[in-house]
Amino acid sequence: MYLKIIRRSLSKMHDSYLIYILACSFAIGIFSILISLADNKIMKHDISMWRTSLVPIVFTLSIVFAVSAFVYMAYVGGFFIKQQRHEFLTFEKLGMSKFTIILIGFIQTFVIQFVAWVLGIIEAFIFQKFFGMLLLYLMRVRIDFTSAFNWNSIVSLLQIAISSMVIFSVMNAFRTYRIVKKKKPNTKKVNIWLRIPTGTIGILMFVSAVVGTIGLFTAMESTDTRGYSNRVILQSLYVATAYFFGTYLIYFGFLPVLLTALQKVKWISYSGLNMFSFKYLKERMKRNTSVLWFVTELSTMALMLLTVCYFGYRLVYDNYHTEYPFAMTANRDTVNDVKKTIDDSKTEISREYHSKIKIELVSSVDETTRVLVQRPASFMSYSEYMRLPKKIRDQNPYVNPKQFMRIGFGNDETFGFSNRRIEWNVKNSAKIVTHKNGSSFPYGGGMFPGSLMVTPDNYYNKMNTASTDTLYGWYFKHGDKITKKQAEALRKHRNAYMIHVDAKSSVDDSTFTITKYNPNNYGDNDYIQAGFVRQENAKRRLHQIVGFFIFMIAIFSIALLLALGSVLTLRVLLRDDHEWRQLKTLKKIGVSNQEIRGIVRSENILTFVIPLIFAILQAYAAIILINNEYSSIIPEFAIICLSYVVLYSIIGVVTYMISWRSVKRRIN
Amino acid sequence: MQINVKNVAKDYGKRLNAVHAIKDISLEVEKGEFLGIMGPSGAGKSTLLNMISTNERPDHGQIIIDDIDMTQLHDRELAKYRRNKMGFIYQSFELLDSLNVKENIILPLALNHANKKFIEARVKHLNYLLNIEKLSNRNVDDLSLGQRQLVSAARALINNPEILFADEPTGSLDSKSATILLNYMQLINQREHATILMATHDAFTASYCSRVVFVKDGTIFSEIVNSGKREDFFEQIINMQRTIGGGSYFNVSENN
Repeated sequence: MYLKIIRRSLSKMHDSYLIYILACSFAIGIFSILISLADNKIMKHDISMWRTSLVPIVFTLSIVFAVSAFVYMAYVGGFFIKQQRHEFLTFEKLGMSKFTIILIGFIQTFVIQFVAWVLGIIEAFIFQKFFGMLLLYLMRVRIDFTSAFNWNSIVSLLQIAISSMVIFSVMNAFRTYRIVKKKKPNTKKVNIWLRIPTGTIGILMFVSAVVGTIGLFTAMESTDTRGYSNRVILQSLYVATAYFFGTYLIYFGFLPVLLTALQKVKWISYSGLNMFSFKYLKERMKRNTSVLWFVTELSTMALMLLTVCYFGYRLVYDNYHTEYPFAMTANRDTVNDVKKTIDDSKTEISREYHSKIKIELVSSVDETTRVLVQRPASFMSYSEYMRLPKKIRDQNPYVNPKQFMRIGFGNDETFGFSNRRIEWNVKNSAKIVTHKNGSSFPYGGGMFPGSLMVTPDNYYNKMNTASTDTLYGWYFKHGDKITKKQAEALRKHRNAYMIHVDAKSSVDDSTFTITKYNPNNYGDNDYIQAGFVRQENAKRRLHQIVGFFIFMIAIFSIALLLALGSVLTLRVLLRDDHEWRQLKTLKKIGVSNQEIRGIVRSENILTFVIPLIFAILQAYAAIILINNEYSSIIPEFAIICLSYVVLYSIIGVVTYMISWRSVKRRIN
Repeated sequence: MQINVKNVAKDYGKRLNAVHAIKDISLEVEKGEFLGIMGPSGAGKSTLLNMISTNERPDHGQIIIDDIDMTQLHDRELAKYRRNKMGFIYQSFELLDSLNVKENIILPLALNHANKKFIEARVKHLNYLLNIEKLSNRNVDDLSLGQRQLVSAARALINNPEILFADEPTGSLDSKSATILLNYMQLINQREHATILMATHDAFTASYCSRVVFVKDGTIFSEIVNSGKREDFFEQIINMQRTIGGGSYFNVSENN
């Protein structure tokens, strides 16, 4: 008999259970795959970065994923028990003991959890190979991925499965206990007079946040290199808070009040189904306020996460291109050894080039500490600079023969510092003032002691310094073929020499000396000159890191958006008995299926579109706080938002179809 | 003839568990007739009424109203027809508890996009007639069962239906309220020539009809026509009830 009750309840809500089970099994599947990847022998053996730094990250992310999935499963799992409130109370009225009803709640949840875990683990077994191959493809590692679930992973998965099944079942048993104990639902009616002021505050907060966001654009456009002022930080904090709470108050107060107002206006409400649909939608909105808010804020977070990660990825990638516009470089001291290694490795050289540089002391303002510091700097004449491959020069701004251009760290145009004023007092030479800033060091940042200044030829020729160097660069056909052993041998040339600065009150009195690199004798005033830079190492690491993070972020974001979508879907699908009855009554008094379908459609639009708009607005505001040159991120943000809109629209359309299907089944 | 029911049948359940609720019933109802449908519980009264009122589709057979075969109409046309021509009083009231009393009553007119002034005038008239003016702004949940039935009746009558379907309309009413409602139904039947089909197992309620058909086990058992004198008609109904079910199946009012 009890099993029959459980079976009937499972089949009655099979649409909703199916969505919940699929969402849970997806989360379980991904979690199982993450665990198995962390322990994968081939990954550990063939990818050194996996072994050393990525496994702890995968492990940490698995825990974050597991905690999020746990919260989702526990929270959403409660919807089904709430849904059966009326049924449980009827069982009790018919004489069923409280213990039996609680047991029914427990067994139902256990069955659902069991199915979800079995499906999730099967998914993991099936898709592990696919995810592993995808990860390796993104990391650009050319090894064959072999699926493997080691015994430890299986045991820990089974332990987690059993514990979570028991925990969720106990939680739902407790929820059932509260239903049969309390008997009356815990619904406090909120007076419309409370909703009006809160709704007004909500709208004011939201509008002020939008105005504040626009204000921040202006504030940040005029922000100089000193960073954001206190006012901007406070304004940002206000904007974030106003969006966060404003959204809730709009859901709580404004939208129900708006629907009430529409319902009071006779020429609107006395027309067609408006009178009913305004009230129906208002009731549904009141019941789902927290869920809608929760979904809006988490969607905002997901959108921000995706955009920031994409932006970060682009930054890293651009920086890499700026920093490594060559295949290999060396200086006067190491050129012979490096060239010999290249020749020995049978690497085909496609282009060779070299440039002469001068090294001199300069006094300039440190951008971080805002104090004058004396540092060695490199100088390259305009003619030498123009002899460099165009590919290298393209990364920096255009410079004419009479202009100075500083190439240094932190000048990336993404940060909007390209027009920063630079003042250099050069030892025994004329002061240099320029607004030209580049960030791509022609031979790699490590090859220059300090920053590099491209100067007009006559300035360069007039410079009287004892220290000069010649830098060499190569491009290869089909990449370098240096073996691991040869790379090891080259490592002894990594640091060529050290420049020790002896600073005096005036830069003209200061001196510097060049000594052989000594790791044990290295102080604050010592600057190291690299002996060679090899692009291949950085490229490999970059591809691995970028691929890894794209994989992780994509999985996390998709899982988060799917989870949120399913929460909305379930809220739409799970109607109370009296809500079903009302739709049925409409049908009986002469409302057509099409009109009822219109109500279901409006409900879907209200549930999906409003959080979508709010989330995009908030995410946009938050993104521009991170990026002060806001226009540069608009295309990426638009693409991410578009994917988000497409994903949510698909979920929304599917929800609408399922919802209408179940309504149609009940009303006909 | 306004309603022509031709060989309709309806089964519930599937295969071995199938219940034959209506077995090949044919019936004709003239315009302006007040027809009662009586029979013991489970005889098929409500099913027959629901099929004629197009709430349910028959498994086979035809239901022709005003020369239109209702079984062939699409959902949208059917809804339009029902909304314009029919009124319904249900045993279970079928009120929308998210709307208040007034909103429930005016809903059929609002669905037809009627003029606001006309809506206000009609609701005022019916409130006065059924003595429910004070209930106007109350929630449905706060009403007694009898009050709910009066509101349900007001909703059914607000658009002056050509055909009124009533399923046990007095089942939840005290005798005073029942008499008010029945008198009003008789009034619109006589003055407006509205056709009324009413399912009931109460002999007193049925005595307001001009004709009563008796349904037993899904078929029409017999029918009685009101000769004009209500007391005699009432006696005839009770006798027929006794014939069908030995008197124990029906709620025969001792006072009447």
